[in-house]
Amino acid sequence: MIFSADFLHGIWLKQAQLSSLSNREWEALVLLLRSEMLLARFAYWYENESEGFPAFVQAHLGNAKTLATRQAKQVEIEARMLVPLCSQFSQHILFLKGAAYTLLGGQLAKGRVYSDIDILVDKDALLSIEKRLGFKGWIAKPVNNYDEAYYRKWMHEIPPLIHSNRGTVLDIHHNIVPPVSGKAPPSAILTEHTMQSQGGFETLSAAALVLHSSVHLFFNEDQDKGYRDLIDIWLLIQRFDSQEFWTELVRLTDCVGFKTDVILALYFVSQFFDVGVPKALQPNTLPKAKWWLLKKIYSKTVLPSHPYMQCKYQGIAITLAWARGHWCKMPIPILLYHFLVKGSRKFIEKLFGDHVFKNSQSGS
Amino acid sequence: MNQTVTLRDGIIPFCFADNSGSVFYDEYSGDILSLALCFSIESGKLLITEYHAYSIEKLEKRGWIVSDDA
Amino acid sequence: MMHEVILNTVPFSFRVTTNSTLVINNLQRVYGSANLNTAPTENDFAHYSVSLLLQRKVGRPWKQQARFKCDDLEPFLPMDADKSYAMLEWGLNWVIAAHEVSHVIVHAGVLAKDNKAILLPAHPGSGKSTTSCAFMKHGWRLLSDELALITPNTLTVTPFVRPVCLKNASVDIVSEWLPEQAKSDIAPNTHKGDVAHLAPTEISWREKASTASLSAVVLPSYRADTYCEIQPLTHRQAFNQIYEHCFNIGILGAQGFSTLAGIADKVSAYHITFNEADEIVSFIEETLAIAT
Repeated sequence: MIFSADFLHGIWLKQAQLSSLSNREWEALVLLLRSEMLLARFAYWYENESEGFPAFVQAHLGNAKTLATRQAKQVEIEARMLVPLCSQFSQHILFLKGAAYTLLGGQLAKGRVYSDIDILVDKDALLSIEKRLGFKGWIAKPVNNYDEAYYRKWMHEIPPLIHSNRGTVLDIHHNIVPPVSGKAPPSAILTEHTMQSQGGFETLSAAALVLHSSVHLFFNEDQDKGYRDLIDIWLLIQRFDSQEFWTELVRLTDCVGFKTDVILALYFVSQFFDVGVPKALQPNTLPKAKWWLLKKIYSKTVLPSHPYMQCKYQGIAITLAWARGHWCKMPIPILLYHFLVKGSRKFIEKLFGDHVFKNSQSGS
Repeated sequence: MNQTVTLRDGIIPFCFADNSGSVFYDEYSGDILSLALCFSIESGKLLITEYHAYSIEKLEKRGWIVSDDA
Repeated sequence: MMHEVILNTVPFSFRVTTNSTLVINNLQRVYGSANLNTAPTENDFAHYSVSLLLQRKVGRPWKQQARFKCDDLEPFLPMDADKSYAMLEWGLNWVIAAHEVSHVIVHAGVLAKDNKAILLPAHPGSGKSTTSCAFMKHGWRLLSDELALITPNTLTVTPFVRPVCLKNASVDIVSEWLPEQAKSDIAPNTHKGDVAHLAPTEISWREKASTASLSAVVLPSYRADTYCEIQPLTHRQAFNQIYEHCFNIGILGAQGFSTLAGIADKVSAYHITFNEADEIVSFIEETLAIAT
């Protein structure tokens, strides 16, 4: 069976006819949601109605909630330990993406699962923090030496750190996009757009979180879990909807850039979930031809790329989006080199039967 | 020689009924210590009734207990 | 040819997609038609969806290899095609150990008689599976060969009845004890040696939905020169053993901890060195006051 995009949106709008699903269809839906890291979200979304679901579905939802609760608890513990450690070197420690949502609580947090904790710190504090965390058991995730050079030399970032005992993965950023692209916003501006969670943790402001999520969604090479990110943006808008919020978002895109990405994201959120978007952030502010191309590429990629989703031509769209993602991040000469080395490595591994454990549950 | 100690927040103790010892669980790290040490709980604190050498030291080293003998 | 069947094991069922006739034949032989749905309809569902596919090896097209997947996840390196059925069985264990968090899962065999259950932690070289078969020979039912599903903060074990994995010489020994039980083809030269899966006894299948209560923890050690030596374990030693073999205590946290501590404190535990499996069974039946 194949689910249509409208059916999927209907689930979150609580308009879908779930009671008419056959057992086979339920089985497929659970698989699809789990694959998109949306199963726990779904479990909480339908907390009051799940009694009517088949027993085996309820069992899966129970498991998903247990895992999500456990993860949320762990993130809070980690956050409490990290902040004092990092503040010795960085004036700001901002939580981003999934970790920010967990710490902000509410519906935004419920069932939101992810694999890494993302934080933003001052650029010149990066290496000192890495060193300090090293003493506390955090080691750089093993990557091959090309990828390590990619991180340090070209992206001026450190690779993800993994805790040797607890297994938590920590991604420390100093900006929301690699500086080598020439498009990274001055970090000083980002640190002006922050807010405090109830637990006293600092995160990006709601408008900045929407910006970051949009950038992450379209700028990066992994067009993965895009649908989940759109739901995040929708929930952020629902919770923080106000004149100030929209004004701040418009102002942010004016001085920091990425207006196209934000417009794109908001377009899909408004289409899928029937949300109002102010004129200043609507697609008619973009050149027609550009908008037409972007819409064509991304309409397919923001939906789950799963065998159970009804969507043709997704393969090509994803490749195009991937190329654009890479292109946006790096100047052409560097990009070609990156492609060549990365591409040939994969080919060699494939040819000689070496196999790596595939982990498609990545992404925060 | 009995000794009273306070458990750090997040440490869960369990003393076995056959006096073979006890186990301690740290909710924060998920670590477990299995020790030749027996205790009873009195007014929210641990009263250690029996232990082998180094047992208390192991708990102190990790910061899981704080001795009440100031 | 691609097959899609549903393995109606409880409490977790599996939709298996495979193009391996070895897998299909062995599933039919070992599970039987009562537990295998070869023509699933829209009304049928499975808890988990897995695939065991044979492919030509890239760079070595004359060789076929088997790959196990659950959703997009591939936890094992590919294996030679003659091990595909064994690989499926190991894969199913992995799926449950990796996904199920409503039970405390201990890597152990579980058997029961009169609803009193014993736990055999999967100590390497323990002969756990062979010992399990000895118990079955004496009328005990198998709840599980590898995964003990324990309800948190109780002594209750939920059965997950599936075949027993036997290695090398045990295959022949057990075939003599339980000649009626269907046996899979042998998977040669796996990382565990030559391996075959044996269908559990009729009573095991019949009682596949009946829980039992833990009464003892048994750590068997086969030693050719020892008839039967029994060493009782302290509660703390029992805890250490169970904890070492617990898969999901990390996820279950404090609840997992209190479950294992509770079990160690309430049941008796023994380390038994033996060369005669019948003796272990007699000892346990006597100790637990089970009518033979």
